Amino acid sequence: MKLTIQNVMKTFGEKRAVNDVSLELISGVYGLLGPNGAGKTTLMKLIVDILTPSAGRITLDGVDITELGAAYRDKLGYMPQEIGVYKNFSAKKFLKYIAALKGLSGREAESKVSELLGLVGLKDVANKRLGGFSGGMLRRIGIAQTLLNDPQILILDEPTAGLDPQERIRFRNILSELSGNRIVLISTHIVTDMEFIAGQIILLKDGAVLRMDHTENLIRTVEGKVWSAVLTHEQFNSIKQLYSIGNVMQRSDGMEVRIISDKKPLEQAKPIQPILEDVYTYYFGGTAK
Amino acid sequence: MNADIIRTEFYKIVSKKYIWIFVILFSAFYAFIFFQFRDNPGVKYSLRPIRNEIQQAAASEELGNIMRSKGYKISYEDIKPFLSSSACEYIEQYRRVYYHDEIPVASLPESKVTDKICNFYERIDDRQNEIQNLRSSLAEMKKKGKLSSFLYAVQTKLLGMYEKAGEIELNLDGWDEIADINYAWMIPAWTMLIILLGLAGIYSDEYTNKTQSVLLTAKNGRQGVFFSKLAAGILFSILCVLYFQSLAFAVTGIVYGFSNADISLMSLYGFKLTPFAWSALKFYLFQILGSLLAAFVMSSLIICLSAYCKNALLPFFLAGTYWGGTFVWAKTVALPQYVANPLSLPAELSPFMLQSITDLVSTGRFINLFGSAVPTIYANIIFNLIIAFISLLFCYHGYIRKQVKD
Repeated sequence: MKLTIQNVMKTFGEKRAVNDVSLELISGVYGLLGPNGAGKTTLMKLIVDILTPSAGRITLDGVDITELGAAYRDKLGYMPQEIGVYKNFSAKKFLKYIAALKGLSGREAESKVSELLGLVGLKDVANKRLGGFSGGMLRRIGIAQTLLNDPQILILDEPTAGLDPQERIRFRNILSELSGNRIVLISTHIVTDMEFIAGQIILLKDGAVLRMDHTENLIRTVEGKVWSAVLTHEQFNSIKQLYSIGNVMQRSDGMEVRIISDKKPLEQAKPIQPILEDVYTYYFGGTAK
Repeated sequence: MNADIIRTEFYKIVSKKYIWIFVILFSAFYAFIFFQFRDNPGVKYSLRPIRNEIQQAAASEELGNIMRSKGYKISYEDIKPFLSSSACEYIEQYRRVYYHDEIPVASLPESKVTDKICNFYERIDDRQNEIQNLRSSLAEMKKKGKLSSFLYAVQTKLLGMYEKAGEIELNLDGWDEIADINYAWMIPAWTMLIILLGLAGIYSDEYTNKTQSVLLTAKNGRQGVFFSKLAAGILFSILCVLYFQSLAFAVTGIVYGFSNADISLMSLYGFKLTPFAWSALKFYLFQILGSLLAAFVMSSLIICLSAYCKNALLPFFLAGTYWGGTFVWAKTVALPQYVANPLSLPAELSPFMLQSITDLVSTGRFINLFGSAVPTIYANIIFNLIIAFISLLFCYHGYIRKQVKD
């Protein structure tokens, strides 16, 4: 199975939300990283066919997804950024409805819904109204609805937003289990999640693909460019005007600052091992660049 | 289409609490108003027990002549010689009875029998005069060589319909009231209000609830959802029509009686000039069919509007304005004799006139459709079906290709 995005462009008036994006996705987990407004959500909407490209095409195994229509959607699981539910529905009723929309028979839906409610840890509240669910619980419902049809292509827009650390770990584990022969595309602001889940990272900036590579390769690109230094307030204020800044930690003797720079920024700066967060800061800027 | 999806779509519509509140309030109000009439002396002191005697009196040619000579203004004393003694006894038994201690009940059955018989003759004569006028008008046009005029075609068709339609009968039953159920605006307006309230958000609520992305990316989320929402919407509107019609029929029938349903339509008060040879029951059933069709048309329209709107208010007001505007126009504009004109068309083709077909069938009304004289009621049906068809086409096209931009 190969999902090909060929020179796809999407404009809204004058604004180019997605600008000449070309990607080839085969089985595996892909992380979509980029700052707000980079075009991640728009690209995902194009891939799930709820937006039509202004130019270019998206194909699955060579056939345009718009031609495939229901056959394409049958393979698809999409979790939008904002999870919408019917507040007067119970979790079970909502999932059974989505299961029917996804073409599951009544019996299949019954067992699948029960299985997924267990998977996302909501079996105890299966008959409770969704109106009373917390944001994290709704996210879990969103994840469950995505998996109802056992999709071959999973598109998840900010799936871990609002989940507590335990839930995030549970979700990452679910994804790791599922990722076998599937194409999974995830966008998230929580870069550490990507580090655990994604095999490859797509960096998106201003609607265009900046870089796409395996996570470890991307981390390697910033090796020798990540520095750590303990600074005073005054030093920090002046350095943040000149360099991209990663994590800042208050210490008794000052501030421990992670600086991303091609050259050694300060005398006292020491090179450190980069993580994926540093890749993000390197390509999209921290406090300043 | 999937039964589970239809069931859920239907549940989404009927789970709105305000719909139930409106339905309960309207039902209680309607029943309350109508049951007040049970105490009305005209209802309380019915002439039905002496139906045969009054019918015999009304059939008398001599009484007819007296009636005409007095310009349809006669008294009970003029009719009394034509009634049997038992009928007189029944009518006069109330002479010393007072209604609510004020109105002498005696005058009520007496004036009622007088009115019924006078009106019976007056209507027969009005109908005969209309037929005679048509014959004269046709002869005049023939003499002037206007055989190809549209009015000639209309009047020829109308005369033919009158000649086949039968005769006016004496009407002593409650079918006038049952036929008027929809002519009074309450039931059609309430039915439509509930339908519009129920369906205004059928698509736009998916936007408000942020569920449309999930729906549109599901296998059956486009065609399947379209047809399921349509089926659920139409089922809901059918149930609304049937509920309000049943309520009105039951309440009106209990108050005024259900008997003599096969009386001819032309025998009812407002229908003396109808060219249609229908019974009162047939008219009533046609009116229910018309109400169902109007509900289907308005459902299609509001479903279509909802598919293009981001909240339920706009489709509600747009569809409500269409129904309400044409309803007000239908109640305001004076409909022309025989042939519709541009001013009367919005009224004559309105969905309200499908719900309440009285004005369209109570006299000969036609539309010039490419030179053919088509009874307006049929033109209305065709026009409204076209509206429904176009609405559904736009809705299908809009929803199937729907994009989620925000």
